[in-house]
Amino acid sequence: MFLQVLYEGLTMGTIYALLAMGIALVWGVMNILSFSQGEFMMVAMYITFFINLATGWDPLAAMPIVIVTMFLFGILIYRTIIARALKGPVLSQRLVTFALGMVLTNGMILLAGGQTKSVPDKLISGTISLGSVAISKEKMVLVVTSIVVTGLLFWFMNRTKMGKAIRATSQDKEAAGLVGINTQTAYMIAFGISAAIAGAGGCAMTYSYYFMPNIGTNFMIFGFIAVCLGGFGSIGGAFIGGMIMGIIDLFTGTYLSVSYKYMAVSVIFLLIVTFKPKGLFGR
Amino acid sequence: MKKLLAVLLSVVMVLSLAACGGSDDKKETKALAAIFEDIVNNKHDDSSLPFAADEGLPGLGGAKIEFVFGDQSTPEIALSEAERLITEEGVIGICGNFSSATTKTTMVAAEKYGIPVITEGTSMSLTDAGYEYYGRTLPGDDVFIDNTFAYLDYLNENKAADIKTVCLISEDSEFGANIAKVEAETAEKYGYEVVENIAYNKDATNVTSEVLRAKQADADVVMMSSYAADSLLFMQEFKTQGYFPKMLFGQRGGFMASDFALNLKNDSDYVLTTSRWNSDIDNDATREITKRFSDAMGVTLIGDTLIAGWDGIVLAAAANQAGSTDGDAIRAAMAEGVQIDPATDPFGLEGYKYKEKNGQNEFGTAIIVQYMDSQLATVYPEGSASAEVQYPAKGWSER
Repeated sequence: MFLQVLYEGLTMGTIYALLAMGIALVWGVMNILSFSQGEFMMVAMYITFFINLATGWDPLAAMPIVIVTMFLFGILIYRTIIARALKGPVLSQRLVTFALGMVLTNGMILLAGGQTKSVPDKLISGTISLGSVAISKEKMVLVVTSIVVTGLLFWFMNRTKMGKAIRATSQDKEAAGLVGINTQTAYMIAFGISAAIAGAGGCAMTYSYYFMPNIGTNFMIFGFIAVCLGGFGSIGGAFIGGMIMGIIDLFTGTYLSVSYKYMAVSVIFLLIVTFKPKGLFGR
Repeated sequence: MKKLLAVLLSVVMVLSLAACGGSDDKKETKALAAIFEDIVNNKHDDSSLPFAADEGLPGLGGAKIEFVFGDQSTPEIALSEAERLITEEGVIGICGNFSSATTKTTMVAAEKYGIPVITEGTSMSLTDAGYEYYGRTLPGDDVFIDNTFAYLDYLNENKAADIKTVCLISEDSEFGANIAKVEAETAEKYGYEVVENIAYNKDATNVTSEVLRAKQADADVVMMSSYAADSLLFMQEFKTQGYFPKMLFGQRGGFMASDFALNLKNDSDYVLTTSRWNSDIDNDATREITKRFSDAMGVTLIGDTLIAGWDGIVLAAAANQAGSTDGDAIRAAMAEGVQIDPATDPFGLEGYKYKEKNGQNEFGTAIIVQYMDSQLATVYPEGSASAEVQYPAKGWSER
């Protein structure tokens, strides 16, 4: 049972981590709280669903298309909304993505209806038994996606010119501009990548979740707590924050009481904010 | 007399999803309302439904009925919409797909203006509130749950089911908390041991620990109260964890929603739920309304949709019987007993007599249905059953 709970906790943690990394990236680079990250994930789930409906493609086959579509969608949102909001008062900057999230949710209700959807007949399904641990292949899709996305994100941010430009912009925008970095492009790409991460996460989540337009809202708060745990601005911290949340969630729910699992997450969050205000890995 | 009835349901979908499901539910309720309007307002010699032989309501000089629609996506909106429907649209009664929470706020306006309301929120707090103009045609949670445990007794006595233990899983909303409380009390009354009682967060993003706890408890019956999204989440997790109890019993909610079998397909099989009505019930009125609805919408009519419109027909029949559209006269007719020819009643109830003290129809009864090949089949009571219950359920690997 212990190993099963540990596995399930890590699996859940990967979802929180995928959400948290997108939030951490946007906050770290442009100080925008991405309240719409859960809704980006929801949009990705619907894109996956519609691709499956039109072509019969499995979510794994559709994933590259979904990621690219979400990246372009993120760029579009940045150019039409975020870039303008960044010129406005701080309150507008903080709330713009909140409003965007509501528009996306209700827009999807108008577009696709409020009924629960799912992607049928997935390529990978079933369970692998490893002793006392039952490993769901559907959930493994999420775990592998999360690990691959995290690895690619680290590679991009540390090994590519654009990644380094984004990091430089996040550390000192003016200095980055002085050395010839186009900071607006860095912002735009960072926002696009954040949406693309949600795209990968949402696409993988269709393997194990039924979904409706408001699914992103419930995940959102946990994404933020994971960022706070790991530390705002730290992508690695956000990943670890997500994992910690998933493990606390599952162990408390299984061994103590399901009524306490979110309280336990919140207590850990309060403790870390109290004794390490910038989070475990915050700068 | 133009606008006789108001059906409150969400049509302003941009505001919320919370209360009454998705837009397809609204289309279905509107389609049913249109069928009933046509039946009542026009002569249909070949129909088995109420007022089909007349053109309009004979007790009101042939008055036509019209269903007017409002939004009840949140309790606050339900209140303002009820005010609007009563004061601006001039409706004489309110019915529809209400939750207990939205019924409560609607009753504030209904009591203020003396307008009768018939809705099917199952919380006992509705019948305990002392409303003067409230009515509920079908049972509340107490009767649904009592029928559930009576059914377990029936299985033990007649099918040697050997059911002794129960695990309760309910969301931590008013809906789930009320049901869990009554289930625990009723289990004790009937002598069943509750080995696990799980109240999960209604906004939960995962239910893995809930399912692991239920699996560990290994009760003979798992009883659940969840709305649509959660019921699907649980079913997915049950399958992931390779766990399915001998009997999985839902208390309506998500287990009765059209989304359930639509998404799960054959994974919905073996799940039982209490219900208000099912399309396989053997009477002419059921066959007719099911066919008319299916022809109009291309989907099977479910009990929650039917009762939303049927309560409007009961209000119309009460007004017809009273010979008046006055709220007090309609409520008096409800208390006296609304006369509906049993041959025209798809629910097949023995009567429609709404108690003065709490508004509950004395003759409201429940049925028990089970998913078989992803379709609902009535399995109890025996007189209404179209199929034999499948018990114990097969595990996931045996299907």
